[in-house]
Amino acid sequence: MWEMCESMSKQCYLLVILLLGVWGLKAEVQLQSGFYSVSGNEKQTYLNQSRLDANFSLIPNLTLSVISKLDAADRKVQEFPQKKWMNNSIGLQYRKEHWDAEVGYRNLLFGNPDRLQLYPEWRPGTDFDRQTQHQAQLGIKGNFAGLSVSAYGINKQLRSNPVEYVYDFGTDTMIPTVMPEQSFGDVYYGVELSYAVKPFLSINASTDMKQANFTGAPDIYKLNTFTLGTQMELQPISSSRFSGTFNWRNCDGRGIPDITRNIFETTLRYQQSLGLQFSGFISLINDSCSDDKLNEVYLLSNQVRCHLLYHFEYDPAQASYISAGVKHSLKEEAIAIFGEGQWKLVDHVYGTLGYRRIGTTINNYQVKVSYNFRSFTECYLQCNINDSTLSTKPLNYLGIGTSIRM
Amino acid sequence: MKASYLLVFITLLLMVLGFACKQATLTTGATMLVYEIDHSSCNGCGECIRVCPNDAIYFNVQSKAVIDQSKCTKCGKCVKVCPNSAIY
Repeated sequence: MWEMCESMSKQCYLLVILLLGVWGLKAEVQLQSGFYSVSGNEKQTYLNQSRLDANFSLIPNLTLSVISKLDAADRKVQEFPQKKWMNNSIGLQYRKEHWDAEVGYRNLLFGNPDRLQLYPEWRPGTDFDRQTQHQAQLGIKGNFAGLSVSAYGINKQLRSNPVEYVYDFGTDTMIPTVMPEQSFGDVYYGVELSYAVKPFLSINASTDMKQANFTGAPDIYKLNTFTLGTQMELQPISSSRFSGTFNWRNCDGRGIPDITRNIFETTLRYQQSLGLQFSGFISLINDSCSDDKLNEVYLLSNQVRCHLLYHFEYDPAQASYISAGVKHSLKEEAIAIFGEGQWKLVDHVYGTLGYRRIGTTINNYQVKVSYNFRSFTECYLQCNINDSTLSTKPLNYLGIGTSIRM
Repeated sequence: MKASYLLVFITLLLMVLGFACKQATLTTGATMLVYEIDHSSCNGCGECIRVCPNDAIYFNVQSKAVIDQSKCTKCGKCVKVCPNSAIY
């Protein structure tokens, strides 16, 4: 526990600085933090999860948003290849009449990272430990009389230390040699056109380009995608909505197998509300693929998903509800089920029960008791237990946390 | 009006054909896997990015996770950690 507190100081300081910064701007701030004891790992593990969300209206139509998320543990948790992870983002969004533009910066920090073979196709014998990832992004969208135009650009730079292995004849072992930190960049950009043929029907075309932007990067990381599609949205009655999309996507890149060069995506979704209490939806997603000659069409994945939500009338805050859902993969014949309920026990006190079943291998149980001081401000005690037949069992969490809106 | 209904019918037919493709030859070799993220279910938590061993997932401008197919090795680790089962 003390080791975790000592080692997380850099990320913690950053979170505190961000909090003071947005507080000084008098932004709308939501802060959440929880401390958990994790069992089922190699040794007893302690975990802190914190999150900061802040929004600030600088001038009319211009919003500044700051998000910071921190996951810090004294040991690696499950399959995550680092002990600490921080995701910070800052964005400016401008909206006016027909235009919507946003520019942002995102930063990912990896604490005590494992060495991974990040690029096995390019440098198969070299490991990399992720240190920091910087991402600058820009998006713009315009709507003009049924014609919608949007474009985006993302520049992602991963700072990492490559580790090369040299054979030592004397000891008959591979000796790791840590190389100087390098930057490995990817650039993503694209444009989309969409036209509303009818109020309920639109057609769209888009192109997405991707280039690996680091020295010696082979063409296998280059990817160009062209998409044509149609989207339909109907509202038979005011409380229901039916939507569907069909897209044909052509992928061109050395790393893409021939058989998956053409992807056909189909989605259907039906939403229904009954008053203010009940709502639900059912959706179907199907992906199929084919080579450029379109000789045969192969199934990639398909699934049916259904969610239902009911809010209890007795709670004037509408915070008491029961929710259930099921996801069925038709191709893999696997089902995932979830159910969650939150009830107002006494004034300001809520109890939450949750259950999730994934296939026939994992049963997950969640229990939470929270005291609500006011809207979006609470403290809670939470327990998350997994019962699994897998050889690598999921972990169990027990902890306390708080959420504050300022 | 009749043209609108015809257009809707053709669109629905195209959509349904996507599901009718199941009867085609089905293979489950490793090269046939293509993982995608359902953005209507993705909450932008980033767990998939944390666990990915190949730097193959990134956030788009809307803070939704996107899989870079040029780098994805189909290891399936992202599918296991997604709390919303948004990866299929």
